[in-house]
Amino acid sequence: MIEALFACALLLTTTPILLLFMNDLSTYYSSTFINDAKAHQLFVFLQEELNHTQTVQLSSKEVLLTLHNGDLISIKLNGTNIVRQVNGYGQERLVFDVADFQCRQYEHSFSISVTLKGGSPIEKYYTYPPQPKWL
Amino acid sequence: MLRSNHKGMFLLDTLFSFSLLLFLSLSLIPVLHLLTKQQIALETERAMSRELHNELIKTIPYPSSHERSLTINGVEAIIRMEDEGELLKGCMIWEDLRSGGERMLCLYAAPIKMPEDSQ
Repeated sequence: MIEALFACALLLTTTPILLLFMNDLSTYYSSTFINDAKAHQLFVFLQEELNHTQTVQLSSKEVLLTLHNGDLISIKLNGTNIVRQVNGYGQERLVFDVADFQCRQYEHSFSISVTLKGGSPIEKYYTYPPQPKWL
Repeated sequence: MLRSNHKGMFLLDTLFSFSLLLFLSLSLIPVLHLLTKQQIALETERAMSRELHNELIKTIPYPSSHERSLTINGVEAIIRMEDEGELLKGCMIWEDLRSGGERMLCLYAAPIKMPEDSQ
């Protein structure tokens, strides 16, 4: 009986400590990791979109892309989501839980800065798409 | 006879369950630790490649050879830009958390032909 009580006491003492330790290990970096991956997915998606783009127009919170087929793509912050619209229709959600979305224009490039909830700003620079020779 | 003699039952039971718990806990901790380490290393690698690409884009209009050091996710790194004439070469060097050795990532870009250059 004493052994059982001893083991039980030991178990009750160690379990919360182990749980806390494992919880700490598994979540300490995971939120920044996931945030970073989400933003990266947007950057890759935008780069692929730029490969089909003829012209880029920027405002502080919106990217407007005119594709070679004439479609007008809008990527902007809507509430806490970054959404993509084609010719003003539909809303394809690209990233959620966004705290801030900023676009900056430079002479030869532009940048997109995404701040996810609880995270720090992640900035990505892009070059303007080259004009095709047939234009 | 055996059924009536169960004095060691509790001790064996608790010892077995406790050893099982210890085994599971102790095998899980290193796995979780390794997983977290790999996640951080991957995140660092992504951040490094992003920063290198950003630097390369900023350098494209004004090609020059230069070098600077920076810290990303607590990891010290060196960005080295080399103007190789036809191409601009950008390299990022940092200490890899996974292997412990030096990690190098290089990207190339074609400098923009400015109007005065093309003449």
